[in-house]
Amino acid sequence: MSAPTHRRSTPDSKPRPLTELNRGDRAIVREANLDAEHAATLAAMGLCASCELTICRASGRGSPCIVQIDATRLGLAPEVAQKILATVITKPCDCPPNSDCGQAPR
Amino acid sequence: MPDERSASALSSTASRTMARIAMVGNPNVGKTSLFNRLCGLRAKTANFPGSTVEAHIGKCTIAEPIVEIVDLPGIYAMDLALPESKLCRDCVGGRLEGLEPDALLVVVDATNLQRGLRFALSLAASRRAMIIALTMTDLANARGVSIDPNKLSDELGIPVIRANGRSGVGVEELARALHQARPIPFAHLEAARAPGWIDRQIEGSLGGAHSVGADEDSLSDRLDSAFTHPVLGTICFVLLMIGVFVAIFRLAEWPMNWIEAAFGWLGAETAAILPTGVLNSLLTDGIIAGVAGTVVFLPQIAILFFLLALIEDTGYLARAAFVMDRLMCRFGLPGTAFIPLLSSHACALPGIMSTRLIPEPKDRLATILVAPFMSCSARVGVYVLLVTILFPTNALYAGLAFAACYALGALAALLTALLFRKTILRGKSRPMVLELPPYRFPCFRTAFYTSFDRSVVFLKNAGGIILAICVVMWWISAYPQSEAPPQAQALVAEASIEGISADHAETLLLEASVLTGQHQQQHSFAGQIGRAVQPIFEPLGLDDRLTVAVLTSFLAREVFRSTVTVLVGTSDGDDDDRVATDLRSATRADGTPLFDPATSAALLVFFVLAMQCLPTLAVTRRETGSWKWPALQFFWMSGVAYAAALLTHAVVAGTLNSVGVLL
Repeated sequence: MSAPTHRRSTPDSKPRPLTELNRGDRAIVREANLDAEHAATLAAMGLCASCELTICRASGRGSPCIVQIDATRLGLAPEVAQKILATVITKPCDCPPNSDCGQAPR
Repeated sequence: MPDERSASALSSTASRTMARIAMVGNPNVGKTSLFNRLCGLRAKTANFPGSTVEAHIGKCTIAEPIVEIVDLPGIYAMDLALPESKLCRDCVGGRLEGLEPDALLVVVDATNLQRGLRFALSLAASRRAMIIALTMTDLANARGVSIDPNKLSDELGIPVIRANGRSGVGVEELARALHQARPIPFAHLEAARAPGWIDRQIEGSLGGAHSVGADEDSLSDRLDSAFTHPVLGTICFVLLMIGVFVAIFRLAEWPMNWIEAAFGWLGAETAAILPTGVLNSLLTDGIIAGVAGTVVFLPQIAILFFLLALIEDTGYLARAAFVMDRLMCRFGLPGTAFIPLLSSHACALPGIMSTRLIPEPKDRLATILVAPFMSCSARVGVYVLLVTILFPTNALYAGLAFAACYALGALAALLTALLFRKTILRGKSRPMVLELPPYRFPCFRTAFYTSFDRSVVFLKNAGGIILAICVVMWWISAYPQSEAPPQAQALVAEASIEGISADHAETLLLEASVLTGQHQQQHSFAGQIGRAVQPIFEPLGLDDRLTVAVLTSFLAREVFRSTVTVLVGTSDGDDDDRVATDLRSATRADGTPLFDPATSAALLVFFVLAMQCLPTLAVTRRETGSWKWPALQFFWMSGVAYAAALLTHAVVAGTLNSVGVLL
């Protein structure tokens, strides 16, 4: 039996659209290429540059995604998620729940 | 900008005896339930010129002196270019005549203190007296976070009160503290505006900047996984909606029967008390019958809004909008549009009123324009009648035809929305950005208040219009008054002959009454108009009687049944099968069936798609602020209905002719 896979926390240097992130990924928003009105609405809701978020539901095949910022969960259409770039700071690991790997469980 | 008040206690302006407090906060922070606790049923709904945004105004009598509270719509920020934000800006800035607040009650969600405090500090620029109500502290406690409102109060220099609108805990204390509202002192405000102040406050009083709500919420995650799943989420939504509809139709049946019986009694008593004449006819046939026709839908509307409020309160509705967005956006509509479209199945009036949920003006307009395509409960009676005429013995075909009516209406709505969004309402649709509130057990009290409020708004909005329509409709059907035809007079004379049995006399009088009614309808203004436009409806298979029945149903489609039974000369009643059998045996002048399959099918399609509800047009005018949109709605829907009915008549008649099958 093979040992449990520990995925290393690999901070991405290159910002990627939220649509490319996976469920459980924690990321820091770097920029949002949205019009001013849209960006202002998102900022008021808590999603702004340098905020930290967690992907609760990944955007797959054109479906919307869900992100969590502090206590706020936001549903984002893929057109919006595509324009928000973030760098992953922690990936979920596949370890048993009580293992001491220091990463977020999947 | 108002001057800073030196006194800490809230005082009303000179022109008012009662202080006014504007209640502001982010959406989903428990503002409505807190307002309902503070003001109860004493609240009223206020609309603002040129806006579809509503505010609720109530009096809080829990503590002396009594204050007026204005519950403004939930917003994320004051400076956004949204109608809700503009309303709040205008109100807080004192630019709304008659609504200038003396103080602000800022409702802050304890589980989202970062966002709530940022919002509260943005309001401090107005220099209004302020007080903060801290809600959701129970949820924060459940997440292992305790909050010290006194500490926060010391830092901000204004009262911070923990209050829960659902349980009522802290509401009395909040009501008493309203009078202690004061502007945030300059020194405190300067300190609070320093970078990192909010984080420091949270760290100091809560035990960590990311402690609130940052933990893994496995139950919410699991529920979200199911409810927002493209397939499973859609199945959950469909099942829930089926449950809602069954509940609406089942639960509303009894009160609807009571309302009908009460108005029936009132009409009979009025007719018996007043002398026969114009006033009697106006009151009984016009006003009482017409008002009954509106009020009878009230139970369905009240139940619909009650259930929707409950579902919304659980946090599920946002998930449903999330799931539906994928489908709706293909037709140019946002996910939130499914709520008005769903509501329109009970009645298009509340459906159109609930389009206020949709933030984007073009999305909202498109939804308003297509909402009346959805099969409302007023159509059900016509569907039942025509489906029973079409398929008197085959329950399966009848059921399928009934379901097809609903499907046809929904399809027409979605295709029309797509067409409008690509033509006259062309523009970039705002992609979905939706907050998914935490899952909670619903608050029945809040749902009751919401249902009550919506019901009152419905009656106020529809009542006046309906009343006017009833009078007009009564007039064109009752005038010019004509004498009973010779055949009816002969029957009456025969019934009065001595020695005739009582039963026979009654039958003769009934027959005379039917003939008189027919004669009156045919010679009334409505009848004259019907005969004039009959050539237009002839391709659909309609004779002059059916044309009159269809024309009168443009005012309100539910009158079709009563009009057609009068014109055809059968008696109306509660027994659908008997009325359908009578109408099925009715013939045209040439002896062919009046309701042949092609005509019945064409009529059914016409009633599914046509805009036959003047109150809906009036509400559309009110919501859009222009007669242009209800005019478009009327001509588009009627045009589509005519074309589809024409096609249906041709196809059914052609098929029957070629196959030689009689249904």
